[in-house]
Amino acid sequence: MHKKTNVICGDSDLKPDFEAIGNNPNFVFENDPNFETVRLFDLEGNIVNVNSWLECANYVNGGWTNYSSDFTNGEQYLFFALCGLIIVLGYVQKKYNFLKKV
Amino acid sequence: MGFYHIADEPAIEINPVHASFYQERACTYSVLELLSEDLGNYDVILLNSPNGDIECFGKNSWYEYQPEKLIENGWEKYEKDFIKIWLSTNINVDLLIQSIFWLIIISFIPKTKEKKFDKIFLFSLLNTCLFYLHIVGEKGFYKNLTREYDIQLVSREFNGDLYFENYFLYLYLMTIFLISFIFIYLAESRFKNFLNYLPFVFLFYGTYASLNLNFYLILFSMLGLYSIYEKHLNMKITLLYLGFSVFWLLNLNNKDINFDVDKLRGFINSSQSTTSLIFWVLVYYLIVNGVIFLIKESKENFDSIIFRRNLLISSSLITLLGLSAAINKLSNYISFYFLGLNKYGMRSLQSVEGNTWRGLAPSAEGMGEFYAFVILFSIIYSYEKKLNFSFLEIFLLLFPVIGLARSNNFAAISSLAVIIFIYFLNKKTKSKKTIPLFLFAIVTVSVLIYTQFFREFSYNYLSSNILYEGVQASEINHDMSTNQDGESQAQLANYQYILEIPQEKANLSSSLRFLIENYTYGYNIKYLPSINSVINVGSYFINRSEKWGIFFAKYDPSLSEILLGYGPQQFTDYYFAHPTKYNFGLFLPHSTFLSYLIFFGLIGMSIILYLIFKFLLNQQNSLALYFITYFLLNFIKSDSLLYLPNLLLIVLIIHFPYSSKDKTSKNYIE
Repeated sequence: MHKKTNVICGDSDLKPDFEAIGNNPNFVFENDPNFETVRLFDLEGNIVNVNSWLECANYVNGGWTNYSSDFTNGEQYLFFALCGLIIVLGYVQKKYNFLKKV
Repeated sequence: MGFYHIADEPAIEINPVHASFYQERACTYSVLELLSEDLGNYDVILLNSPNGDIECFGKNSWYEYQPEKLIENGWEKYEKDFIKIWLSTNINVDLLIQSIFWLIIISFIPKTKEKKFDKIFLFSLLNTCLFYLHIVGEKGFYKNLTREYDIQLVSREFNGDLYFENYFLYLYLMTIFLISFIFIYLAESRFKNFLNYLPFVFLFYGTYASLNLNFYLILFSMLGLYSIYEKHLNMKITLLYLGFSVFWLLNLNNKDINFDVDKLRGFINSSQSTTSLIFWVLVYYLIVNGVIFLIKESKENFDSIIFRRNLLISSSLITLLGLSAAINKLSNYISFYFLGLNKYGMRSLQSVEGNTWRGLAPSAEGMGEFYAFVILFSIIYSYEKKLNFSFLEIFLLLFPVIGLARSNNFAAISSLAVIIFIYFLNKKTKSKKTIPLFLFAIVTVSVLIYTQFFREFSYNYLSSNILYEGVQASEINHDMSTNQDGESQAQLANYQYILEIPQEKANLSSSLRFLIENYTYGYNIKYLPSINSVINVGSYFINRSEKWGIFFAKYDPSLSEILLGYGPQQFTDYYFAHPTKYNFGLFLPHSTFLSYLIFFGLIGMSIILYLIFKFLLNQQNSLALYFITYFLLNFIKSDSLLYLPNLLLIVLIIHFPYSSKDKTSKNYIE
């Protein structure tokens, strides 16, 4: 989430404590006039406009994003599919040495 | 939104009115669904959008209508309207799909005697580490393409937990590893046959659609690593290269720059970072050594008939597929993707500005050079080795002839004609005086032609052409006096005046200033033109005055940089370091010698040329002389070595197995 936060909200030196924010029902995010408002949405299509880096990071940590494709981690699917394929091919190669026959 | 998404609404007719429909439905329709709605009423151009997500691969990304527009050439000529459709691709998917395709192509190379490669896993891992440097170093290029870009294998969350989900990087590294691993497995049973099939690198160009990488960089780097492991190295050259590398790294001015690689994509550094420089320094060394290693190991299996046939097949297919890509939009897109082109093929059979047609190639000049070489090799090598042509080969020879004619590369055509003429003249006369006499005749005829037909151009004008163009390209920030016609001192080529302008206002590059000072104040022998002037005059006749003028306006090296260069495939310093009127777009040097001057400096270039000439003198076979002379003549005015296939070819030609011990197919020898 750290990386995604930097991409969506920008860089910051702040080290947010999301647990503390989540456990505090009275916590209020202060608007940052130097922060360009970011529109975020969740999987259900709810929208929120965030006005500070901390608020943005908090929502991103909760699964919100400004880019719909973030809900599908294509790289993850492809990575595990490729791992599976390598395991299968590795087994076939060990048993039948098919790479030599190609 | 799932991984695989079926469109709620079917695709509708491709026309300008429906632009907003498709713009609002990005990542919805596949290329076949789109083309099924193309009724042929508009020109449709399919383009690649490399910043797509994996789940959008092959689907529409953007849609735009370009109305008819007036071409700004002084005539009332309109460019036809067309519709552009961008199709999403993805860095990791491209790396996987294109590599699989090219590895399958390699598997069609016939098997020969086995060559055992040791420690495949280890070398694949090493190669992967090398290409990790690439993705780290060229941050600017890749960060613009994907929001998933992240170079850390493991990072920390805000709460200190370790984060292991950088699948973007894991996929990239895993794919590089697999390519390296599978390639070596394929190479074990085909290695000694690779040389015979090397001409196909011009057909399967190998540039990835969304990376600044070429497939052959991965392959030849692996071979380069093996050449080091098997101790096939020239230690003197290696140490020299190491010395140069140290200088390049120490001299580097680390900057966050993203150089628009455009048609050079795949074999040029897009960045000016230390990591990227280390990558390109290592890779360049490895691929050159990899090719040399391949040649030395495969010499005994070299078959000149097969090699010649593959040159003809490759050049013929390039011409035919170029024609197909010009006629059909899907063919254009597919050839771009699966051949790994740097640039889309021409979309029309008409020549550009009435003269050149580059077909599939990124540069008409570079491809013209290849076509001419195919013809040259076919004729000279076959005559020398007394090899017959089959009917098919004679037929195939037509295609590089057509391709060469369409490329309109006068330098390639004339150098081809001159080399063939000298070869046969030498063969017939067997006199050592033939070539010098012939060259004397050419010079005499050229001088006569000039005095008779070009007298309207004064020697004064021609002898400073490059300097004139260089001055026009410079950003001279000084209020220059003008004459009654409004021409400034720069336009009047008043070099003495320009040299007297304070340095900070003149903004002349160091190289341009040096040339102008040499021209204006240099020691001149009466009636004997200086080298500076001869080059200026010569550049006019080969249409290089403006291009070389722009080069010198931009080329602003320090003394050490002009001696030792910036490093292989490093253009950023040359391109951005000095302000000129041409710091936009891609203005190439238009001479391989000038490009290599940037990369390796005067000392580096001198060493390369010395090694080539030393090699030529030691050659017992004169064929090397003809082929290398052909390339050197063309390198004067073309940028061909900026493209990887051309570099592979010239390294091959220099180390070519010219000896008569090469195997030839029985059916073709008398």
